[in-house]
Amino acid sequence: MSKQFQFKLVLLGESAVGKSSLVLRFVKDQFDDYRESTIGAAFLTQTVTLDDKTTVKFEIWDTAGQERYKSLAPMYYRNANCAVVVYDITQSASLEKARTWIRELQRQADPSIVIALCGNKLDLSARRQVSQEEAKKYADEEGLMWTETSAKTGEGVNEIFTAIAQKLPLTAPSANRAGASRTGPGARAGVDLNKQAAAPGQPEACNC
Amino acid sequence: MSKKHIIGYWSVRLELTAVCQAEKSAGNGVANQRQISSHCHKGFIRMNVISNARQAAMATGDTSSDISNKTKKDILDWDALRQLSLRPNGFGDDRVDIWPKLLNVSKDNSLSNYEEKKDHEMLSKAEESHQDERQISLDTDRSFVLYPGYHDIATVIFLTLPPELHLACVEKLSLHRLRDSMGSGLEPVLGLLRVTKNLLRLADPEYASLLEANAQLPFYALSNLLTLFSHDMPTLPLIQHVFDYLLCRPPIAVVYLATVLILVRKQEAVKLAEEDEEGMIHSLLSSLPALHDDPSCMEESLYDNTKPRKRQNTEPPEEEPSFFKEEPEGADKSLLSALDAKDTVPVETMQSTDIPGDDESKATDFDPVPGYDDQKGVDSVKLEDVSPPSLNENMGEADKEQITHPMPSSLEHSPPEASLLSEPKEDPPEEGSTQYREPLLKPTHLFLTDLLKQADELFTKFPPDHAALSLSSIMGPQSVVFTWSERSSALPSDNTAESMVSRPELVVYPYIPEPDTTQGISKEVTDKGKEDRRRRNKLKKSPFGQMERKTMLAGTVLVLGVAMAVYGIKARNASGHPLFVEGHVHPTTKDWKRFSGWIGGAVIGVSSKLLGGMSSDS
Repeated sequence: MSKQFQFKLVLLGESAVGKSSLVLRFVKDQFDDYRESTIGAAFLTQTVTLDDKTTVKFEIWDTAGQERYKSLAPMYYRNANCAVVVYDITQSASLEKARTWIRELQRQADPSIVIALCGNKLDLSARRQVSQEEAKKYADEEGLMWTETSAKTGEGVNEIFTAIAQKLPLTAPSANRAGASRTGPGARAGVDLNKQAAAPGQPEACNC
Repeated sequence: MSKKHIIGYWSVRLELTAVCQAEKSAGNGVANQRQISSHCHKGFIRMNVISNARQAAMATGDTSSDISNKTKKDILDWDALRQLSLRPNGFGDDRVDIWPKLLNVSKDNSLSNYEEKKDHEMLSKAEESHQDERQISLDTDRSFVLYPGYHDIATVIFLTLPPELHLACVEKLSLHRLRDSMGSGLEPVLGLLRVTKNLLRLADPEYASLLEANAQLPFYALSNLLTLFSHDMPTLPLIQHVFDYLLCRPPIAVVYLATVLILVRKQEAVKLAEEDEEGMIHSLLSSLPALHDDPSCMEESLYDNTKPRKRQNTEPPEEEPSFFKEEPEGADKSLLSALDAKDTVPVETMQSTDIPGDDESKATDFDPVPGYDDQKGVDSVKLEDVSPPSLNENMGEADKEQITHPMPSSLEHSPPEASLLSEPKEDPPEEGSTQYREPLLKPTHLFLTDLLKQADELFTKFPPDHAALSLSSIMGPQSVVFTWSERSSALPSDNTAESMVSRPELVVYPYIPEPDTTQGISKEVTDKGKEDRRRRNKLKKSPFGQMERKTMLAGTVLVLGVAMAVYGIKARNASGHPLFVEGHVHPTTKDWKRFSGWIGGAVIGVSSKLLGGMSSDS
């Protein structure tokens, strides 16, 4: 008998870093070269299978990154179990914006929220402005999960959502699973997705 | 719509997207959509299309054309145009002539602008024209702020009108209809969302409370309100018809149409609410139903409404709704329904859905309001809960009591059972949540003309000055809602209009949160107190914070504040404030008259606020 857990996930980050593309890749395994900007927020769901008995359904709120929508964000992260804060590795300013969001989450969101910092547009690493070292160091300091992704190629996308699912507290009795001890409720230790064991059925995460 | 048109539509959309881009991407060897869209997202890219067009107009010193505009404009038969806009395909080919008139643009005027503008070539060569960063910063140092979705609106204009009319029409549209959204903040459109919420409460209290339990404001209407439906309409003919409808009506009409689009999804939304799929309600209502504007079908519906209507109440649904079809897991459901229409339906596919190939039965066995019957086809229908809009009912407080009456059958085109405001009495017992994956509803296929008529009916039944709508205590005196007029002579001058965007507090009154309303998008909000307090504290700092007190003093303070602010604008106006870079401001007594009118609006707004109580506005 399988258990399904349901978690609310919010995507935050500067406009045009690829939040909607990340979700589109995760949910639909698609990529649009021409993606319309998000107006307000979009809602999607996707289920991650952790093992034979456990699935995690993400209820994803994909927020608009434009500054004028900032005041709406608390509505979406207020009850979120997890947040993916996205930046664009080719725009160093977007990491600053991500820091701002993370500070706001740490102040305003549920204290147990699982936050993942996600550097998107890995396919454009030739134009990289944000080094992996810099981002990872920051993530470690703040106790965030961190990885880099490419919504365009799909690299790292499923991995980060799976890693979040594994880190979320699955409190029901049958939720115990291999590796669960690593991610106790409320754990805020940084997780380097590069080194994390791959989820069942998922290819090993690799940012190289 | 031919494929060519579709491709043209999207390529122009992309071209305009390129217009939006800021300096960094241009000239960059890898400039591609990523940057283009990225710059489109930037919040504070200024609206240089408008500014340049205005500069050109200023350069020509062309003010005489205004007079001819007004002459032409004033003889427009608005009522006839409104009727025409309700017909299948709306204005049709005539919209090329009608839209500019509705926007107070004359061909002479626009041509001179166009000649000036041709040098810039900013539209066809957007990227080149944006290479010069300095030029961009100069161009963009204007008062209007581009917002995501604006280019969708511009696209519709560009694809409909000849090039020489593009800029002039986009400018007028922006100045006198879109202006509220072109400030730096979201507050004006949030104000319209509050009006929308009030309208929903009037039209269908039960449904409204269900929606409010889910989301404090109907945020799913944001896109429709901000982009006049152009962001989500799948085809050019459909959005052109929507523009036909909107442009010959006051700007507030968009709220009525947006509300209708929420009301027609009631059955689906209720179903989702029963299944505790709160987020999916947002997805449902922020996407448009499948819409048709098929003349042949519509002729039948318009002229053959005496035909006994097909009764479907006992018929099983013939098709599964896409929202509930083939749904092994939540993932698939989200695929089908969470993404908006153009995500799930490629443009080419959308084209084919316009042709009733897959719903032959509906096309041949046509019903005056098929979409509604589609819904009724499954569930029994309760008609008495909400009285659909009637053309002959008086407006006012009495309506609140009347909304439980059966609908009068006075609507010539829409039989009572088919009204959008009809609703399912209750779900048949066999449709429990255990059968969630069974087909529950037929797909929502609606005819645009019916929606437009329903919006008109809603407008007639609950007009903008309806007390419970609280429009005048939500939107400020300088909102387009109040400054727009059929008479071009009553419109604010272009300069004045542009200046209004810089005073958001006069466009929408500061929001006073309802104390008792569940905050946020989720029912299980527990820690909303912090946020509420934060907002209240914010309000206290505002000069309008006094509005929280129901005292005459507060009202006086507010009215004075508004008056002084308006006066301030005028004073700066006359003294050549930097805002009016182009200068040429000629304060006239007419201006004053208009200003006093707008101040009057504020007084009325405050009065109704004081009399009606503070809570009614939100």
